[in-house]
Parts: sequence; structure tokens; C-alpha cells
Amino acid sequence: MAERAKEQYTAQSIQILEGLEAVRKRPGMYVGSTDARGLHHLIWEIVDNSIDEALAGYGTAIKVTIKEDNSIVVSDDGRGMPVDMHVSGVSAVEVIFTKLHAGGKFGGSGAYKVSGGLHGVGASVVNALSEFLEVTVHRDGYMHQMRFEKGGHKVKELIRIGESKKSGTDVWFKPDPTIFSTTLFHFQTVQERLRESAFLLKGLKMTLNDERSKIKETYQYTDGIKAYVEFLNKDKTGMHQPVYFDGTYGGMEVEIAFQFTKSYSENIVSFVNNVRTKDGGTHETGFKSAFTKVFNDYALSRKQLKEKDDGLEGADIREGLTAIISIRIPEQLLQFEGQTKNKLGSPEARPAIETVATDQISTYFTENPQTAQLLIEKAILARNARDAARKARDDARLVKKVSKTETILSGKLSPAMTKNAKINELFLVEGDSAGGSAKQGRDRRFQAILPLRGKVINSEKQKMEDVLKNEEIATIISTIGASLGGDFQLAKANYNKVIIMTDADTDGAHIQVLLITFFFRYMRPLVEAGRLYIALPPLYKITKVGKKEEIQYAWTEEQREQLSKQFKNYTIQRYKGLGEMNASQLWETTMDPTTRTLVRVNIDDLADAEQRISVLMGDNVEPRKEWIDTNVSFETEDDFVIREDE
Amino acid sequence: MMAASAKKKIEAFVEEKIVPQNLETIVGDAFGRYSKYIIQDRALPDVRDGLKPVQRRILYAMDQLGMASDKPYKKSARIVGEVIGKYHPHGDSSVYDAMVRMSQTWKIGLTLIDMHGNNGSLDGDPAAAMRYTEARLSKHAEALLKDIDKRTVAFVPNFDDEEYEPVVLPARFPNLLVNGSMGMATIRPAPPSI
Repeated sequence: MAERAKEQYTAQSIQILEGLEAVRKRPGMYVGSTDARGLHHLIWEIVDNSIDEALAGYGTAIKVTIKEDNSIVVSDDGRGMPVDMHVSGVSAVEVIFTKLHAGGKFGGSGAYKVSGGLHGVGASVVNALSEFLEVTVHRDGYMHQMRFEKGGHKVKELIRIGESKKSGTDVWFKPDPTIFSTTLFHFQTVQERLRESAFLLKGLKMTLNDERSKIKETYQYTDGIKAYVEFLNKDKTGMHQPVYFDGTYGGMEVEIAFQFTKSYSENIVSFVNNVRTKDGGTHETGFKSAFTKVFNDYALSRKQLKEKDDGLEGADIREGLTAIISIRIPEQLLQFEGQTKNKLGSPEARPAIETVATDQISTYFTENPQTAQLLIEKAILARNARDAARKARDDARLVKKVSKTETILSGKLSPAMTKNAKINELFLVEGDSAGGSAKQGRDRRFQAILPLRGKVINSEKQKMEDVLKNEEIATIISTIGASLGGDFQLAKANYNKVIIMTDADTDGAHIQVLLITFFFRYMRPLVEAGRLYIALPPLYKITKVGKKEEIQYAWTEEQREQLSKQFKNYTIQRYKGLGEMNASQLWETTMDPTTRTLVRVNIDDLADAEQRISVLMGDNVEPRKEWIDTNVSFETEDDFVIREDE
Repeated sequence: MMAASAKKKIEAFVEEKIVPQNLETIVGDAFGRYSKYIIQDRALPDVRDGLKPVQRRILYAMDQLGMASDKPYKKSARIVGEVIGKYHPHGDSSVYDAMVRMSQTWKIGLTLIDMHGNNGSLDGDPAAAMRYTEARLSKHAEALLKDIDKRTVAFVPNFDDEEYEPVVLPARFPNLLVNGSMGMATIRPAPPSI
């Protein structure tokens, strides 16, 4: 067998994928995936090109239109793509759209000083993955047009089709349905991304026109990232007016805006050449160390902190901080860590941000001594809370050592027999009565049960100190065994899945919200890794009456109706609580991995999740009231359905 | 053997039905349902009879059991059991506490329940456990319930569709104004008492 395979493997089996064919063969390498995420990536590629044009100082408006057939038009008013002949013998437009690694952003050419684009593949990738792509260039008084079809095959040469007084580029494309699993564009996703870009480029006018739903929105912010901070904090209580400053250092442009709020979480969003760096990098490090330095120096000079005290730690200082960092780095200095552009690696960025930020924040503190004092007091409070929390944790550890048996972390936990953290599941169950059913029904080899009594504390409204004092929460933390907050270590988690299992009633819904809030605030890496789940118990049991009893379960109203049509004689039981089910029923409907359905809690956009949690669970009543008024319908008297057939 | 079953188990995980959903959607849905319920069905009284659902259910259950003001007292535990079993699928203490409150002259203008035995004191002493106390409807409560069987109010099925319960009591007097009510839902305070 092995020999035969060897024989066939000759020079002939080595293929070279030419040009765009490579992109169509392996789209994942260029746009990440072929699902909705990859699909939207096509828009970002084209829009980013327009943004780079605006960044270079040409163009002030970008318009994105989602047409009814889910094709996209991106228009800008920049210089327009070059239409003259390229040395390779075809027009420059054709080079841009059909040749990989072609572009004006490699430095030296002088067309773009800074840009988000690096590899020169964006436009050609979009072309390769589109059913058709039509580009119209307005330049030098004329309008030029070129069209590609079926993955970048030229059907119309670049020709002059008329006169034009404006300048700019319009790109019209429709993603290829044979490549993407979905070709439906999601308004909100596009909206968020465009709004983000508008925040980052002061004054840039972004227009989004969705012709499917006739919604047209324009984003333009003269305050730039300062407005972005205000936007992120609009549901929180600010401790001072947002601060904005900019500066240049070593050829890099730095822009920073920040505001402290009364919440307890830290939210730093950073950008390099207008591309979001999700995992931070040297610029974030520089920003953080500047903050720590200025706070400590100021606190010492004002005697708010004594010489002999330990300095304030970064995490304490940044509690409640919302900050946007935007840095523009010339191409020759730009480098990212890894394949994606998620983490900045340029070592020069750190001193640049640090110098600008230290200077500006010191100035701000000197000019606003009252705010400075307030922020330092807040940081000291946070430090004290952290000390108390650490002490509580140490105490807990001590107790654990004394008892010596590692497995008995809590009297309530029914641990799994094995310790395989790759398979094991932890069920957080509402109430002792349901906990009993779950305990009997589970597969004890890999399922652990932790019953929770009543409502869990709202971790959004309470200080960390108080949250940790809560017995329910303390048990969850010690059971998962990976610490919490900044110390959380995903690798140490004892369970592969943490499953919230509550009754299918309104109080169960509330407990879900409370638990998700806790995990989001204190064990976010667990949620981000997709390891937090919600169990779906059935709503109805339908028993066929007759010689042979037959039991079916229904999870939705529709299923219930369908089943009751199927059976002539039947009885229905509506499950109000998990405790109502027998252990075996609970196992087969909700806990057995082969038959159950789980909902995975995903974080797609951190800012969205953050906002939803702070609106619904936070201190401010007004935004919550507003949310309920717009999202909850009070028209019907109750949410049960009055049925005709009974 | 063990290895084989473990492998099978892992395969089962791979095939498992998992529905990914965004955190904000899950939290939004769940919170929406909860707040709607709290605002509509738990914490706030109905303007027509001034009663919260648990109070209405207690009075209606007592009426159905024939515990009128001229009949002998019956054990509170029986009433609580009836209310939980037929109309109010929640904990017993919430029902009993609501019952006790309706009998305390210092908490409510016109008492709706006539309780025999230790029903607490102004100093905040707790009432005796429900196995000790006995209760019946007060005369005022009868005025709230009067003519309920004469198609005066709408009825809806209870939680398991086996019983019917009134949406509101006929209420011969404006109970909300007489007794007032306090309540806190997720966002809306209740009307103040007079």
C-alpha cells in the first residue's frame, strides 16, 4: 500500500495554483472562513481600501450599499484607482483586481504613507470569491469601467464609458454562493464595523444604505475616538468628562481617548492604522505602563500614597477604565505577531505611546487635580478590595490544604468519577429539588452536579469583595478551580463544559442571566472559549394513551402541536420545574449527550455583550427602563397560548 | 472495554447538537421574559382590585374552600397547600407570608384575612408556623369576592390547564386606594399607598 502511493507521487502530482484559482481553492487562508464571518470580510477588504485612501488624505466620504440581491456597492471619493497601463502590459485596475500581492502600499512607491493593508491581496481576493465584480473609476474627468465574472474572469476590458466631474472608485460585487455557505449580509455587523471606522477617522462620513429594508444611516463624528469613548460608556456613569489627546513620536501618530466610569471592568480597545488589534500588543503595553507610572508618581507627590506603601498595580488603576488607543505606524515599522493582524509586534510603538501618554496624562492631572484625586482614591479602594479578595482566596486554599482531600471542594458538589478535564461537565442546577434528580440521572463517570440555592448574587452591581463572600459564587469558583478575574487560568479549569440547567420558567431565565453575568465578569476566558452552555429542558411531555404507552417530548409550541396531531389519545404534562421530571427523563431529554441540545454562549462582539450586560444588570435604571420599553411587549395579558383544540 | 466506551462517548460529543447563540441575545431574551413576568405577574398589584397575583390566589382559593367569615377557622397549612397545588407553583413561605400580611392590622388598612393564633406583632416578631395558625376570610375580603361566580370577571386556565382562576376579583370597593400596596419590580415602582 505504502509503496504504491510512493510511486504515484512524482513531479506531476505537484500542482501550482495560478493566481486567483488559489484563492478559490483555499478561501479560508485569505478571508478566514466561508461562513458569515468570511462573507463580511469581503466588505471590509474593499472598505479598508477606501479608508486607506481617506487616511492618505484623499476623500471624505465612503458609501456602502447593500442591494436587494445581497450584492454590495462600496463608493468613495478618493483619487480613484490608477487607470493607466502598468508595466506588466495590462491596466493598473486589472493588476489590482487580478494579481495577488499587488498594491501601492508596500512603501517606497509613495502612494500611501500609512495603511491597514499590508499584503496587497484584498481587492483580488474579493474578485476571486465573487459571482461578478464591476469597478467604476472616476478620474481625470472621465469614467472608466471594467467587469469580472465567475471568480475574476475578465468579461469587459477597462474602457472609458463617459465623462465625469468627480473622482473616486465604485466597486460593485456579489459574493459567489458556490463558495460561501451564506450570502446574506447582516445589517448590524456591517453597521458596527462602519461606525467603528467613522469613529477612528475624525470627520469621515460613512453612509450605510440597506436597500433590502430601506434603512439608511450615516456616521460622522467630528470628535473621533472621544465620541467612541462616549458611545461605549453611554450606559455607565462617568467619573469625569472623556479625555482626548494626540501626539507624534518617531514618525508615528498617536491618538488616545479615555474615561473612567463607576463600573468595575476595564475596556481597552486598540487600533493600528485603523485595524482593530484584538489581542493588544506593544501599543497597549505602552499605554498601560504610562498609566501606572503617572498614577503612582502623582499619588506619591500628593501624599495620597506613602513611600513605604506598595505602589498601585495596573489592574487596580484601570478598574472602570474605557480607553481607545489608535496609532498610525508607517509601513516600514509595522509588524504584527502571528498570521493575523490581531496583535501588534512593532517594538517602536511602545515608547511612542508611553512618551505621549505619560506627558499628556500628567498634564491632565495637573490641570484637573480634583479628578486626579478622585481617580487615585478609586484605585486605592480597588487595591484594598483586591487585597481582601486575595486574602479570602488564600484562606480558602488553606482550608483545602487542611482537609487534604482535594475532591471534596464543597459539600454540595457531586463530583464526577473521573478527573478528565477534557470531557468532564459541570451542571449548575437551580435548587436542591432539581439537583437531586440531576444527581440520580447523570452519567456519573463524567458529569458533576452543583445545586445552587435560589437566586445568585448580581455580580454586576456588587464589588468583587462582596461577590466573593457569596457562598454560591465561592463554591462555583472553587469547583471550577481556575481562579477568577485577572488570575483566571483557562488551562486549569476542571471541566470542559459548564452547563447552566434551570427550570424553563421566568425565574430560571433570571438565574441564567445572573450566572452569565458572573461568568462574563469573572471568568470571561471560559465564555470566550465557548465552554459555557445552557441546557434546554423540554417544555412538554406528551403521553400516548392506549395499549402501548408512548412518551414524546416537545421543546417548542410547534413541536407540541405536531405531536398532538400525531396521537389520537394523549395526555400533556407541562414541565414547570426540573424537579418534576424523573431522573431518567431528565437524563434522556436534557443531560444525555447523544440526545440533548445545548445552547453555547458565544461572544461575537465584546462591546455588544459588554453593553447588554451593563444595561440590564448595572446600576443605572434609566437605560434599562428604556431597553424594556422598546424590547418587551406588554400587550398580551400573559404569554401562554390559548388553544383551540382543547 | 473502558477505552471503547470512552471513545464512543467522545464521538457522541462530536455529534452533539449545539446551538451557538450570542451572549447578548441570550441575556436579552431571558431578561425580557423575566422582567415582563415580574412587572406583570408578581410584584405589582392590579389597579382594579389592588391585589398582587399571590394575594388574589389566596383569597380565591379560600373562597372556593368555603372559608367564609361566619364559618369556623381552618388550618393555614391547608390553605397554603391548596394555593400552591392549584394556582401558584412557587415556594410555601412566599404564600404563607403573603397570607400573614393580609391579616396584620398594622400593615394593612382593612384586613382581608382573619387569622387565629400568633400572627406576628408590630415589633416585628414572626407569626407562628403555618401548622399552628388557623384562618378564614374577613368580611372585607368577602366584599372583594362577592358575585365572582356570576360571570362578573374573566377566568384563565391555571399553570397546568386543569383549573381556572380569576384574572381580577369583582372588588366592591377600591382596594388599591383603601389598602395601598408597595412593590418593586425590575424598573417600575408601584403606586404609593394613601
